Amino acid sequence: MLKVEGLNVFYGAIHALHDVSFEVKQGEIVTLIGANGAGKTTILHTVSGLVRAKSGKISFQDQNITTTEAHVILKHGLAHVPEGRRVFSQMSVQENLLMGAYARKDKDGIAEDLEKVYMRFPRLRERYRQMAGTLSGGEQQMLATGRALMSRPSLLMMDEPSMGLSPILVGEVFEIIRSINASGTTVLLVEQNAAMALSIANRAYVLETGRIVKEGSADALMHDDDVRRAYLG
Amino acid sequence: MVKRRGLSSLINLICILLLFVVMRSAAVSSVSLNTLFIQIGYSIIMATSLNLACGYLGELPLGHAGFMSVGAYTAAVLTTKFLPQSAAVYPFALVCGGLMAALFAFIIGVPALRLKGDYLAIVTLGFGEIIRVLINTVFAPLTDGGKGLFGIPTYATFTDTFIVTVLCVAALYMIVRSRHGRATIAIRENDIAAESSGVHVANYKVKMFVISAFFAGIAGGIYAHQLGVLTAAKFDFNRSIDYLVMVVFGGMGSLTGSIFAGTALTVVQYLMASLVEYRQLAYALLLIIMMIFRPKGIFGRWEFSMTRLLARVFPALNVEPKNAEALQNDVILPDTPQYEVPANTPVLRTSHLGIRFGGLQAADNVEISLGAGEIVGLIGPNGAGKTTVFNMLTGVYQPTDGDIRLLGRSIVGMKPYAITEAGIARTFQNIRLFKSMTVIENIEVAFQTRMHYTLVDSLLRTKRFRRAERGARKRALEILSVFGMEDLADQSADSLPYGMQRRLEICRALAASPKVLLLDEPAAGMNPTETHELMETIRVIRDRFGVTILLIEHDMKLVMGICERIYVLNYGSVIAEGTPEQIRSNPEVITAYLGKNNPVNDGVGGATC
Amino acid sequence: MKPATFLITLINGLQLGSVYALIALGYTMVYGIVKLINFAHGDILMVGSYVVLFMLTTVFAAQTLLAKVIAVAAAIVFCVMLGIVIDRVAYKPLRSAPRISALITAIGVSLALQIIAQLIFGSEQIKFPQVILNETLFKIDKKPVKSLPIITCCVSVVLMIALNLFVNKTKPGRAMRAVSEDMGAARLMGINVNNTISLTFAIGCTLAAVGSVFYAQKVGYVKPLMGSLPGIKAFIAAVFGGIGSIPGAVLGGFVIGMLETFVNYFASQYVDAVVYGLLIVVLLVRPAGMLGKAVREKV
Repeated sequence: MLKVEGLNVFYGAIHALHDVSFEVKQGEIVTLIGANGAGKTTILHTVSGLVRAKSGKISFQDQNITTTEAHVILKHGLAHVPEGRRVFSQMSVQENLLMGAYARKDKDGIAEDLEKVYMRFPRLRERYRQMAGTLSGGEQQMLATGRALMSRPSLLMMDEPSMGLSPILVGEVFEIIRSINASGTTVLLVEQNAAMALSIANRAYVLETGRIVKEGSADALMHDDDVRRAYLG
Repeated sequence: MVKRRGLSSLINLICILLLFVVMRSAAVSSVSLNTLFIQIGYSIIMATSLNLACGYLGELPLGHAGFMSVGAYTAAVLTTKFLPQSAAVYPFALVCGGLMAALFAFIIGVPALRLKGDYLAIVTLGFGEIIRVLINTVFAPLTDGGKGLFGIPTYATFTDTFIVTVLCVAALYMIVRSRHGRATIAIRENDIAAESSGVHVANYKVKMFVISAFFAGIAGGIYAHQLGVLTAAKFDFNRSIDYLVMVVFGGMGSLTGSIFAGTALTVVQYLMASLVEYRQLAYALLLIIMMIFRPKGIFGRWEFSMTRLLARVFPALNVEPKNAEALQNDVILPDTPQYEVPANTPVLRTSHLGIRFGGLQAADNVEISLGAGEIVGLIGPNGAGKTTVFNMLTGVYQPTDGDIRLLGRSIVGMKPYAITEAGIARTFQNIRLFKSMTVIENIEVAFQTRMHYTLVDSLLRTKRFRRAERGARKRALEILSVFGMEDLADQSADSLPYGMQRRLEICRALAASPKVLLLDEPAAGMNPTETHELMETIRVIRDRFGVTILLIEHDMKLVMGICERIYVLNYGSVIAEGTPEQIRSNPEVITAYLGKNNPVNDGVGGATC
Repeated sequence: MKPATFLITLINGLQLGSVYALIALGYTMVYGIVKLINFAHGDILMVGSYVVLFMLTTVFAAQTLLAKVIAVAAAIVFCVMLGIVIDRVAYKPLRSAPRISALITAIGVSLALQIIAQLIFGSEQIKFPQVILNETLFKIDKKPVKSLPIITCCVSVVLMIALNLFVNKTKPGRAMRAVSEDMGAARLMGINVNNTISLTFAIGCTLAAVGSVFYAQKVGYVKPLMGSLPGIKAFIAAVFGGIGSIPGAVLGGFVIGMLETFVNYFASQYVDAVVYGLLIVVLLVRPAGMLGKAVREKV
């Protein structure tokens, strides 16, 4: 579904990604794990077009999207929940969700998906007129996720959804990811909390200083000695 | 690098003298060159002084010409109307002009510098406009109002302008390269972190703004005594912009840049004096193109050093001082305060602590007490008010109810820098380092309240200044060595990897020699290995520096692993307090925060989820 | 002050205020979206009035109603295009640069526009033709109430209401708000950020072009430097009301316009001092402006 080959990204003189290749197949949950600064977020930013690659190829559903603009990539069915949630805090919950459907024109479909999001996150329905900035961290994560779902993506990329959340909410967030996947959306997940990420993923890639150093099924990596020592503690 | 101070000063002195001799012979031969050189002189003073407020302090004053006009009129009115007709009074008049400009800057700066960024810009713009109106109306009996002040004695000569310019630039350089300059740059980099490192931010902003205006006033005096005529209209917004352009063009935060741009742009204007329109168009386009291709300005923050240049050509100049070792011990170390812990009193204790934002009760009746040398955790769901409690403890927020006692003394109402001085230091959830400064400078900033040499010491580079600076470096290296970071001392802070940045923030907090250390999510963004190392580090800090530690953290392995006691916060109130075991089994905490069958309880992360 | 004088001054104040408000909206919208004080905005006003002048004196022989309509339309189109080009050429490369660099660029653009106008039309002021009907409507105490101020106010108010509806109720308006809050997140929503910014400049320039006709006719002439003063005043109005806030810009425009007109009546030499003085006081009391939201930095 998503195929990344030989990706190289630079920030000024800093070589942020070295020949990164990976793929995500239809229906999977794939996770990228690694230390802070290893380049996980950069990968997501490059795939969704916020950052340009120096070389390499990104294809999504057999279309080359390497140089496609960020606002066009979304229309191909690829949605991105950014790190730190980045909801529009001066807009209401409902306006935020509608922003997610900005690129769509089918009014009925939007209404239907809005209803679906509200079904999935009843808390958002309760607060649909509230300004997003006044929501708690957990609610904002739900809103950011719901907003991304409003574009009816076939692949959902999530960046550190558990960051800064209390243990009880972390559990909840991963449950949500699993259920989104169960309803047919492929998920590419970037997580600091490697243990949690591996527990719900099918496959995983391990990043170190901009390179993919290990890949395999989540199960295998969970029992890999190096991974255990470095990321599972 | 040339480490011998005397040699370096000698080289600079020789270069300046050479420059003087060359320029003077040119100025003597041509009246127009003489005029040009004087213009260059005051332009350089204007640009470098504006750079202090703009490039170093990080504010955007748009009324620098206003201060220039105050200095110009003060000096000119004095020499024209009050003082005897003699060039001997000229220096006195210049200083008076500078002082008057400084006074105006103080009056406008005290209220205005509370504002941030663009708003300060607008207020200074407004000041620049108002001062012109005042000169023409209220002060008209002295300034002769709209018709202009005529007959000002033309005292300004090449020689005295050259000397004054060199003195002004040297003074600015000395200020920038001292603890005062460090504090100023720290404010630019991150004012909140600067304040919590013990820098009295409001005070420093006003101080630097006033100094900047003082030099603008001097430049104004030179201007007046070159031209012989003054009209308020000359000091309009466009003139302020001209100097701002010089600063940005040369590089904000580079005195070299301001000197270069002050010279170059003045020369360009001089050469094109006859082609007014095309000159201006070229000037405008140059500005646009320059900014698009080099937004940092020509020099960025780089400084030219003649000594460094010569040392590269003649490596023989690279000599260590003869008495290097003796100097290592001839230091004044930053103070280490002796905290007296009254018997039977907690180090830190809050009672009925609460805060209300508008109608929202963010924290209510929070009672926390920390014993000497304890490591205590503060946990709770997002939005429970944990960071709010930290912000009250450090004076960032003023509590609306209750009391905070540090070593038995109430610290409510004290400003953050004063609380740091009193003995509480902190780190931040989202790292707040002084990014463009080096690792060691980051730490040295935090010695601010523990060092005592004055602005005059730094201007004159007194022995006290040198000993204290060596002491600061020595102590900073000691702190870094505890964390094995001494080799990174001269790297810039933002080049450090994430984990190191978190550590540096802890080093900086420790540099303030606190009694209580507050850590806000120190493990955020760390992987289990790093977290594990961090746990060790925290224990070492407690033992080595004798501090009491209160930490906020979501990583339950860390919290449960090192905290001796834990407070749980929910909706702004403490719902539980106890040892890790008690907290882990507290039903209320499980429902509000930990969750049932949580990984915390089996210790391996989310495998069970 | 006699009641009649008061009323006339009031109307003049509203007239000046609505012109300031129109320009201030341009400042505030651009600031809201790219965080740039667009110093060249006042000069767009100048360009607009030159275009009208050019159309009515050089292109058309007679100043018929049709000619006037076309002239104003041409001014709007020209200003919009100019605004978009300026943004794409001069500001866009600096989106991620320090804000002060963009500010200096804006100053450069402002200077460039003034000098180009000077090179084309000369630096002397030229009489501005009558574009909008300015008949005496009625008289109060023998003092005429003219139609220009009334038309100025009405058109401005209609435009402001339309703008407010546009920003709050339409999809492009929502996109503008999203971009102004978080450019990166807006791109992830499928919003074309550059087009949205261009749209913002276009709206600001439209308002400035309309304002230019009202302003030039009020003062009666055009000259290359005519934009600076109303530009700065409108900018102050925007800051006064709370920069980034649309109702704030309107409020600020009217307050500054009224204040200036009334102070001018009593003590004309103090106008600027009073205007700036009020601004400083407002900022000291409410740093974010009258209707601006104070953003508390998260620690």
